[in-house]
Amino acid sequence: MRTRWLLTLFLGLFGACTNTQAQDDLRKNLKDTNVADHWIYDDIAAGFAEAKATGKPLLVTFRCVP
Amino acid sequence: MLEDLEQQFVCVRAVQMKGVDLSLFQFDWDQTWCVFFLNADGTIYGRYGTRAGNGDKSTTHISVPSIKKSMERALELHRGYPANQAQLAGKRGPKFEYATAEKIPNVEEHHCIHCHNVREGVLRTKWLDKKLTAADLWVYPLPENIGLKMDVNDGLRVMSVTPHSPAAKAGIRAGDDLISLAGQPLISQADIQWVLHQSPVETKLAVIFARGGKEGTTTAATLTLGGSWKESDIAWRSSSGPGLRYGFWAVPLAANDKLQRNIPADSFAFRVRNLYAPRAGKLKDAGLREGDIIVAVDGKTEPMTESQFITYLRLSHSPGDTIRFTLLRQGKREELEIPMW
Repeated sequence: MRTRWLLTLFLGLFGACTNTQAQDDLRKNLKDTNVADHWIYDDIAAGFAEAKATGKPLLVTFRCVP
Repeated sequence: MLEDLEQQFVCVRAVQMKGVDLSLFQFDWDQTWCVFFLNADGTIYGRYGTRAGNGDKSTTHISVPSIKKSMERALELHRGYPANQAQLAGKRGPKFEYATAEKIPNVEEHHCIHCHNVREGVLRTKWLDKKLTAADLWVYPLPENIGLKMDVNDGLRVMSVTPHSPAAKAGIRAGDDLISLAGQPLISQADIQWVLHQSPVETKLAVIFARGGKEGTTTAATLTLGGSWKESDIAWRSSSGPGLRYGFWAVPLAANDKLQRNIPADSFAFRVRNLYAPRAGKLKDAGLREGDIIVAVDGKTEPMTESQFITYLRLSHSPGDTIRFTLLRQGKREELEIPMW
C-alpha cells in the first residue's frame, strides 16, 4: 500500500512535460498522461540545451512506464 | 509541495533507456525510479533514489521530504559551481563499456528498453563471455552495509549505527549528518551508494560528518572497509531474472514443507517455481519440472538463500559446463545433469 502511494505521488510530482510531437506520441502510447507543463518529456538533449540557455541546473528523472 | 523547487530546475522526465548516454547516467538500474541533478556541462551534482527490495522494501529509503532536501542541496551545489567542480568529478563514473543500451548484446527490447534491461544485458553478456565476477553482482551497497541506518526523511542524517561496524569504528554516531564521502559532497543516500559502488572491497574512505547542528562540530574520519561488506540480496533485482536466472526460478522451501518431506531444517532445499520458455529449454529437456524439489546442487547440501543460489549458479558455472541437481520427486531421489543455460 505504501509502495503504491509513494509511486503514485512521485509519478504525479514528476510526471510532467513540455513536448514535441514525437514525445506527445510516446506519452500517449505509454498512456503516461499524469503530466504537467513545465517538464520536458523523454528528451534529455532538449533538457541540456534549455539548462545551457537558462543557467538552471537539470533534474532528470528515470521512471519507466510499465 | 515541490513545485517551487521544480521551477528552479530544468526538469526532464525520461521514460526509457534508448539513446541514453550510459557513461553519464550510471545508477542502480534495478530501481523503478531515479533522479539525477546535473549542470548543463554534464557535471553531476548528485543522485536520488535508493531501493532495498520488492514490496514494502522498495520504498524504505525514499520519501518526499528527502527528495525535497536533495533538491535544495543540489541547488546549493549549483550556486557553488564551478568553484566546487573538482569535488564533483568523482560523481561521474568511468566510461561505460557500451555507449547506449542498444549497443549491449543480449539486451531485451520490447516496446522500450527499461532501466533494468540494461543491467540484464550486461550480466548475460558477461556470463556468456566468461567474464562475470562477484563485483558485477554486488552493486550499489546500501549505507546499512557499512553500518549506517539513515533517516529516510533526510537522507544524510544518521538514525543508528551498527555496533562494531565500519561506521561505528570511524566514530559516527546517531544524529550525525554526513557531509562528504571520499571527497564527494553528498545530497542523498544514493550518493552514499554511488561512492560505495565505485570503491574496491578493500579500501579506506575519507568521511566528513557534522555533529550538533549549526553550533556543533565537523569531524573528518576514515572508514576502513574490507571483507564481505559489498554482499547483499540480489534476488529482488529485476535484472537477476533474465540476467542470471534466465528462465529458472527456484524459491527456498518453507520450514514446514521441509519437515513434511523429512528434509533437515538446515539443509539445502528449493522448489522449482517456474521454468520460463524458451530460456529454460535446456532445463526442461534435461527433465526438470516445475514443482520439483532440489535438495542438493553439485552434491552440496549446505543451506543457501535465493540470492546465494543465483550467485552460485552463475559464478561457479560457465557456458558449456553442466550442473548437477539432486531432486526429491514423489519421495525418491533423482539426479539430473543439466547443461548450463
